[in-house]
Amino acid sequence: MTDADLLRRCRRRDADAWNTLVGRYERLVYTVALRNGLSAEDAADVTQATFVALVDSLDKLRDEEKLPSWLMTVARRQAWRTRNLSRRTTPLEFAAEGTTDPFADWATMTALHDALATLGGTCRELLLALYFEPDAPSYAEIANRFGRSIGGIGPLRGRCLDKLRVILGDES
Amino acid sequence: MRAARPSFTDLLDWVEGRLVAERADAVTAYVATADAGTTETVQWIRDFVEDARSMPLQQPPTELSERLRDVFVGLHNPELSNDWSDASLLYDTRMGMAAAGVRSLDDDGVHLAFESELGRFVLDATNSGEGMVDVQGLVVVERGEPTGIDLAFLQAGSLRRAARTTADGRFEVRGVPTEVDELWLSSGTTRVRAVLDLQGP
Repeated sequence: MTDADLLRRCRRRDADAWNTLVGRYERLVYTVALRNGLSAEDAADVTQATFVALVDSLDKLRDEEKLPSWLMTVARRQAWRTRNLSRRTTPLEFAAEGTTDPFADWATMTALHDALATLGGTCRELLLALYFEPDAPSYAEIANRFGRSIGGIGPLRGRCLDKLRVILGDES
Repeated sequence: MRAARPSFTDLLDWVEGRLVAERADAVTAYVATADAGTTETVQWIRDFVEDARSMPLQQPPTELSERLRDVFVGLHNPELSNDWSDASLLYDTRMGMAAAGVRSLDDDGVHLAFESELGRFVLDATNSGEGMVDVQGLVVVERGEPTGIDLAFLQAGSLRRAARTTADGRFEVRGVPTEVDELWLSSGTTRVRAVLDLQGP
């Protein structure tokens, strides 16, 4: 089911669709918050604020809106606000030194996650599992998780990545 | 005779070091003298792997995941919880109710102050267009660690706007319909309802 389908269902107050959206993007939003230098507690607060903003914007988001980059942008702004708040309340001697941008190429990262959303389905899940999980799970673990043979994982991820390349090429 | 062009998956396996030695040697030889398309594909794969590895996705704590799922129902139907209380109005500039330390009417906005189980909160609504107000406010949390509070603005029981305060209790919501007649504040299991009247003076 596409993000646009889920958003349409959320507008009809479908809690199951909401849960699917949260499951799809909670790691992405939480990661953006963490990478902005927030503590786990502040990152959790920013993540919740971002999903509350999504509830608030359900009626305003267009179907063609790229949800991953929308969420990433909201999370980044919320994180900046939290960081600025923290700076105002932290004694100078404890304040962190000048902060650098934690994203080497924000446009690339948002485009990548938007393209993964367009790709969708098993391909998106497979590529996220293989390339975006911190502990880089083995093919055996992936095969077990996806209910496929180990031998099928490599060719499938090749086809999925090739499709992603085409999507990114089309969108750029 | 020139070897056949490797497939995309072959090139991916080669970049990731997953090919058996003989096949890897063949692909290495091909790539060394490759056409522009193959070179571009290999570079794209390398860039993708580098970009992906540069931002591994962290799993949120279970407790946060549960909260995120609860947010949707909680904002749309805050009254479903049994554990909620009414906030009491301390001050409304339109009614000339006096309360110590609360600002007075100085423009065409609505200024409200409430006492609640979550703490005292104030709310300023200023006209922002036909039937709309911009709302700014502050919740002064009396106990516990500072954390955001979810806010639901309802009209006749239907959610119209939602927001979350910053950790220091501030909030700002632009374009709130003046027909909104309830504000719900939720923090953990504590929920507070405030009856609102955002119509101008």
